[in-house]
Amino acid sequence: MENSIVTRDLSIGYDGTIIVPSLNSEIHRGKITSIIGANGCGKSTVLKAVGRIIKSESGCIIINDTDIKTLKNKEIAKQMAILPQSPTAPGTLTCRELVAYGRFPYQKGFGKLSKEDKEIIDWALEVTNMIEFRDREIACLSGGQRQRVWIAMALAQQTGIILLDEPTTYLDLAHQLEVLELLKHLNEGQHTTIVMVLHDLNLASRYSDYLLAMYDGKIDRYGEPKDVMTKEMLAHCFRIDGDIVTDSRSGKPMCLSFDLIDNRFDVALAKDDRG
Amino acid sequence: MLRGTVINIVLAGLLLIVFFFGCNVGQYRMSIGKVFETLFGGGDESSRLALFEYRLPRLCLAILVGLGMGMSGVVMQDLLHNDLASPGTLGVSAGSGLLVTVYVALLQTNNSSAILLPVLALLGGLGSAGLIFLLGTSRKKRLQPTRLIMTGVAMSSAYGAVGTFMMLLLDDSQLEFLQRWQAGELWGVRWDYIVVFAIWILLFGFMTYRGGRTLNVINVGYDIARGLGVNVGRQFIYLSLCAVALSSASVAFGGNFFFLGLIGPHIARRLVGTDARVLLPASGIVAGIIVLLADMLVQGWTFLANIPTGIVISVLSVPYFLYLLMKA
Repeated sequence: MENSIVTRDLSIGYDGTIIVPSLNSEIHRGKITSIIGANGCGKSTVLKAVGRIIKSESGCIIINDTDIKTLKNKEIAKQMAILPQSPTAPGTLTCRELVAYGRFPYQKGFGKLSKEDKEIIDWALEVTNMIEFRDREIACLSGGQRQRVWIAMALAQQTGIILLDEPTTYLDLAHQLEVLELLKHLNEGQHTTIVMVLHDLNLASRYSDYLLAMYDGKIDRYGEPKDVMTKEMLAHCFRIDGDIVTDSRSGKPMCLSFDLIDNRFDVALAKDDRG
Repeated sequence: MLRGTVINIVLAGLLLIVFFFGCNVGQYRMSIGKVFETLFGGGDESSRLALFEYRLPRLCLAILVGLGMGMSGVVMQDLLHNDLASPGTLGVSAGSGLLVTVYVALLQTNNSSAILLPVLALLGGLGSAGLIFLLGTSRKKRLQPTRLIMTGVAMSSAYGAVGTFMMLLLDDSQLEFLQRWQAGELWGVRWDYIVVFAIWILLFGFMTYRGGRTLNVINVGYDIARGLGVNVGRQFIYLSLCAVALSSASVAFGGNFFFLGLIGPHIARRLVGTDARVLLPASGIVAGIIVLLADMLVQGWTFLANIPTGIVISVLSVPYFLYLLMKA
């Protein structure tokens, strides 16, 4: 049981077009893994397929050594939570009500919350620092608080694996760090396996144990940040000419100064000049 | 949840009070005391006749129509994440109505069986819901609520056109029935109809209520619901069927109460919030109270005497609805 998630020959598509042809990957248990790559490379698609929000065309997904095809929906929901990108909830819902939905896979009948359910909901609100806003309506929260309450809902699901699709979108720097610190804290305290899609390469490098870089629906490279976050990877996956330095705070590699390789606009401008 | 339950009990009490006042209203005046006396076995011949033959069935019908449309509206709004979804706007009511009118008008029958009517309405409603699905979704693409709603709106006007065309084929009495039905008149005032209607609403009301928890998470988002272990496709179809069944019966016995499925959920949402387990009953009861009040106006005020109840509801609801939209 070294790996939480394994995919074998996983092929995924949208609207009839294959985006990810054949993915073989292994996600380490109890670690933070970030999927990085350019827009449209298929990173969100992979996350959604593993979180079974979209159906895969063929291949298999194995979580905790069991093929998910053999599991009931609710059984999977007890092992793996997924937070889609910028989710929206009815604005009049209170934080506590939303977090309570995380107990859905465990409930039966009309869904009266048990004492255990209530304790878990309070715990989830507590860890995410949302307990003081428990009765506030979602519409009245700031962006950072909203993201934390969604994470609290995923926590109430009490799963060993949490998948997150760009959990820092639309947040300012401090709130981005807050969300990632929270995830790191959960990973260290609860040994939760965290897999996320992140756009910010430097944050991904800083907070992840492993990086999975994708290019055109395939895994370009996979490993620790020091092996993935390289000049070659930036050039191949992002068409970026970047300088990699070591972050003095975290000791992780980061991309400091960067530019487009073959800047098409420069070429166009040069042509204009000649004309 | 607790607060919502309390509000529901208060609403139910309010419904009962309006109900008793409703017993009191009509051409034949009765005091509240006499209503009670007659209800519990006493009273004279004429008050018994007025109460049991005319008023009670009409009031029961009004409440049942409200329950059906109110609950159905909640389900459709939650499923499609849009407060403007309702049996009326989606054309589901129009579909039900079309089959009922084709049957009643063309076969010229006034003593049709109580079972056949809701079944026809259900078939019509299912037919139109099925068409919306067929035209509003595609196998390759994912479910898009807006596309479904727009398809429903378009289909709705198509049914309207067919209905208008049919009117040209009818004689005067059939035409009048059809026009009154479209305006929303409580016409199924017969005990045998009402018993069938009540059982129908009870059955599908319970089936809908059972899905309340699922409805809650689907309302948050299809992806979120999938992540929580809901089989969204299957539950969507199950809940849609329940909603269509609820609204169809209301259409079959009551007529076309377009605004009820919109305004009932709206008011209820403001009172109890979004939890479907309290919202469903609240919306049904609120809609029931609205139909009762509108019908009391029609019955008690000679000025409005021959006006279909649905028109009164629309006249009362439209300003309130516009006010809500302006505030939103």
